[in-house]
Amino acid sequence: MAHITPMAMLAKQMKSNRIVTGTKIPHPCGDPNLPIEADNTLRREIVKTAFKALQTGVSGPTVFVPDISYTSG
Amino acid sequence: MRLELANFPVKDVRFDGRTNYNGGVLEINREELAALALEDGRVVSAKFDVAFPGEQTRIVRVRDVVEPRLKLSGAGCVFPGILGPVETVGQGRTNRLSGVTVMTSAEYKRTILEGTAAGRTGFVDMWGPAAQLTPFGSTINIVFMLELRDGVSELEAHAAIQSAELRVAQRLGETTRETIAGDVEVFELFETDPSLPRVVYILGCRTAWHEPHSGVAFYGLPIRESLPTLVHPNEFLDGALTSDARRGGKGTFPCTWLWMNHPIVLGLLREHGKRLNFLGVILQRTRFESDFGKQVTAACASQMARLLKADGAVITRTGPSGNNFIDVMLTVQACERKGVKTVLLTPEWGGREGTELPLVFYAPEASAMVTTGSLEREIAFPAPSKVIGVGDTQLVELTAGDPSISPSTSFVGDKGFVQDGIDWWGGTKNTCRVY
Repeated sequence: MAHITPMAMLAKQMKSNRIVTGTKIPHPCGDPNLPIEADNTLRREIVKTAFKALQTGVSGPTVFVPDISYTSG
Repeated sequence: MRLELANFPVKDVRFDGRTNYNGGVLEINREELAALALEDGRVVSAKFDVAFPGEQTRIVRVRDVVEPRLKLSGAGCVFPGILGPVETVGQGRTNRLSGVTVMTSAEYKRTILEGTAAGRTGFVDMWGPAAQLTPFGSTINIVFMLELRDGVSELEAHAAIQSAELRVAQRLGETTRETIAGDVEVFELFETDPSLPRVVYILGCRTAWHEPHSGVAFYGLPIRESLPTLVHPNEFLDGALTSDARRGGKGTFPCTWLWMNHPIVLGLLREHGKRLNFLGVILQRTRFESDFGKQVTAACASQMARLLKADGAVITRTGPSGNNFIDVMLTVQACERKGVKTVLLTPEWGGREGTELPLVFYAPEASAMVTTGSLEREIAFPAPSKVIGVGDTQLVELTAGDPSISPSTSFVGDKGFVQDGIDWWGGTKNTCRVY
């Protein structure tokens, strides 16, 4: 299982195995501040990172960080 | 910045004659104060009652509580940015009517019907087990019952309720203008013995971007999306910090009275030059919605503490939110890593029996914590002999979506039902025993 969450630190403490950093609690897999094309790219990057995490062997809570930048906190 | 806070204790409140303070007796002309509230076209009715400590009275639909104060000298007014221009307050002389509150019981037609952004109410018992949970079980409460016309937005409802309650409080404070104070306390961050430990107070506030008002306002400006702000503690005493006047109870937001009588701000001011050197208050917005935002606010607050050359930081938070607890814990961690020792003061979870996990997130650097009690204590509320409050007092909704309560009966409920029944800042008399 890959766990996409904007609160990766909490997921790590709760011992989730494959953690993927998402954007923000109300929209973990996207960013409504972005124009639609840029949002699509960002969403694809997060989901691709989740697929990569699923194919990676881990021996404990591991955080996978997609290549994204934030427009808000 | 030197502020003299002159104390005018109130022993009795009466509704006859003209509005006047004399020898500890506050007389109120209800028609005069109602007319003041009705100047705002959004207010359709304004009524007053009073409740004294020890009476078997329950006050319902409480949304905010204010202490009457008057700015006698110095820049600005009490509640700057709301009742007057934005001018830095905290110096000169301010009068306070102590032992008495303006407690607002207000009703309006909600447009947000559910979720955490909806308006909420709390209640106050003047006797029994719940009276000890809140400061307002032992104050004389002037209950200001306010109804707004329909078609008012959530933010307008906040503004209308707040404007009315603050103007009423200001009018009551005005009664002290020509009177000589019983006692005067002076608050000042004077130059002091450099060997005393340098202490800063990091005051974490739960706010949310999607709510009409962010829960806390600084000079009337809601602090949503803000980064940490450095505040002189005297500014609190002149009402620079206010709360969302739509939202009482549920322990989420301390009311305006508590911001004016903040126990940690007062405690640190009183110890300044004795046991410590109080550097100021860092007002920190918390409940960012990504690790990224949480790390930014933690880095920023801890850096501010380091720039102030703080040896230690007292850290607190508001709101029973697991989300904002992470921001606060990361702030503790960031301070400790920058060489600023911390103590975190917070209530804890732990379930009804206190046997579950007390904290939702933990950093090993948090090595000094003080509990202010459980968030989840259940209370048996006895039946009152009198219920005071605006509108229908037979059935009262506390939180949108939760079952209503029947205030004239006895029932079992949460301590968060009580206005300021959850202690964020250590102001109430909780004790802990190990069995």
